[in-house]
Amino acid sequence: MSNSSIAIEVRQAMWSRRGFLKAGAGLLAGVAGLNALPVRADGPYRIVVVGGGFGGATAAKYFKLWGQESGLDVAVTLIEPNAKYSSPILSGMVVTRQLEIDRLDFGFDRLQDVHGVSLLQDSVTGIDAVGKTVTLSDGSTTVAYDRLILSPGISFVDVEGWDTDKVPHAWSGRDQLQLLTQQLADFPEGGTFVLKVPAAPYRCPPGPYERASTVADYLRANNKNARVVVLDAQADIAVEPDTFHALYDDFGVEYYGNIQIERVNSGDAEGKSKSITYVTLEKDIDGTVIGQSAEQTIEADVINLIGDHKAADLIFDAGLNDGGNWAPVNPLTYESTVAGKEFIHILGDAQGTPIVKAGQAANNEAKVCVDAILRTLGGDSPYATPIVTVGCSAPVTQTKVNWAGNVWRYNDGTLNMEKVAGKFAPEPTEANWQPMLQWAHNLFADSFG
Amino acid sequence: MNSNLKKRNMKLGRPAVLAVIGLSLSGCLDSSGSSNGDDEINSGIYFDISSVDYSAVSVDASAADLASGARLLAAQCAQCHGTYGVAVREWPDLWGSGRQIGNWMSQYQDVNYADNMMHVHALGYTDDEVNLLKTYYPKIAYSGGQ
Repeated sequence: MSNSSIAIEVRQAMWSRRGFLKAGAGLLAGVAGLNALPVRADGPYRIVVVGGGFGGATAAKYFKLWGQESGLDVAVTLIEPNAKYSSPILSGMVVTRQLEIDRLDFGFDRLQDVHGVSLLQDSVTGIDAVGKTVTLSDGSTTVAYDRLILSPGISFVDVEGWDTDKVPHAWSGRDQLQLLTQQLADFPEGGTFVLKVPAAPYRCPPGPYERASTVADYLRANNKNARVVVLDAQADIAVEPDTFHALYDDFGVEYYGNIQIERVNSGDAEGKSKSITYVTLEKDIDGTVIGQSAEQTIEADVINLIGDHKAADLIFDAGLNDGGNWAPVNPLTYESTVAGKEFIHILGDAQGTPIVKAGQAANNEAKVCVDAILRTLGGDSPYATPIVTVGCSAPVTQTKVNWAGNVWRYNDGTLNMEKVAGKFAPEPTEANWQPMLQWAHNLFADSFG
Repeated sequence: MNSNLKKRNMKLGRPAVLAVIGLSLSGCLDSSGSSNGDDEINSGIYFDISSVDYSAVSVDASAADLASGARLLAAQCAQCHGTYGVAVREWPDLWGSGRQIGNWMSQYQDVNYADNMMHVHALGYTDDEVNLLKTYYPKIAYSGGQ
């Protein structure tokens, strides 16, 4: 080790984590300082990160690590309403009761104690892109930023009759995961399970297909003699159709494509008597809808309605969606391309590049964003041809695991990211089980450790 | 699958401690107090995210002079190989590696590795980009445990 090496400073006492900083504590609140200078003469450069998932946590951590390496004084505040993040990655193992739900809870202690990130356990309810402040849940406290990083995740397009307290999506958040897990634990013998696959783009493309096959296998293993139905918005299984069709054939899963949900009966007070009503769309070769079937209704004991996705509400409230469902960004920096929204960056599932919506993608997008901001701050330009690599792995049965790897590269002709390489495992295997845990562990540690 | 990479990494002398990690963690993490029937599950699976000692990581000051992209491209690997290439849970480390990274990447580009996840990642990088990775990771040293 050379004498000139920079040891990574471990900050502890000064970043007390005994109680999150509360809104209005005065440390960072107030002072909507507009400043044209890249580095403020009167204090550190203020980064505010909203959302403590894979994108936000990784951004907060790397701002501190790389800021320090670069000799830049960067203050990072992470605003997140939950004390811990519940990872959707590997949550399929919770649903099938092969993993305790708390094993996927990741707190922010390491970000605070080791990396020196400040935490506000709160929600952002407004963004002033001109004054460069965010407003917290009390409606009056503001936090000033020089750069704002939003990683707020997804929300769902509403469906008539859908009560998520009875009909879970279980696609985001611990409570939803717990609800579906409990409903399946209580699944009646001879009952019916219906899973709705959302229309693309949605979080984790193989995920709904994996959930259907793992749940079917789980119900089979528990001798539930269940009817399992997959209702897919796509014309056919969009990810590894051969693998999933074979699994569905093995488990007797009924699969229907081109489905449009009309409404849901979320059930009575006890959650009984649920049903889902849909039509089958008829499409021409270009995918244009040219007709539809009569309505059909399936009575079900458990409905896993993974609704169509859009960016989290904050993106719409702040006018960052530009009329669409996602936030358009410059993939060199993840800065919003909406006029008047400079200095606001959006990471992860809420942003609109072609990169897959997934925690692993958010993790690596965060690094592109942080590197670009710090390089700019240091008087340099963002790296011109970033790559975002994504690996992922998940069970498709009680014992077999599949994986996928994908690479996106910046195309300076289209000024957007494009997929340049991608591959799935040759087949799901038991041998992939331990590597899945090793992969996930490294991802969790890189993001939250 | 990753046996080649693992064997090469044995130079680092990291013992196979997977089972020990599982045991030691089950002693210090709270698995009780569940209200959702988790007590009926006994997966033995834990994801301890505190095993990397960042005070034991050093980044050579000359890393600041590397070409644009070196740090960023290298950090893409960190998602699976640990921050600064300091991996957790018996997975190949990248810190300290220079020429080896070039060897690994060209090896994984070979069609014989088509069934390995690293094949697709290796194909995603140009030779120039692999050279940037080779300049970055030798600047990282780690003296902590894992």
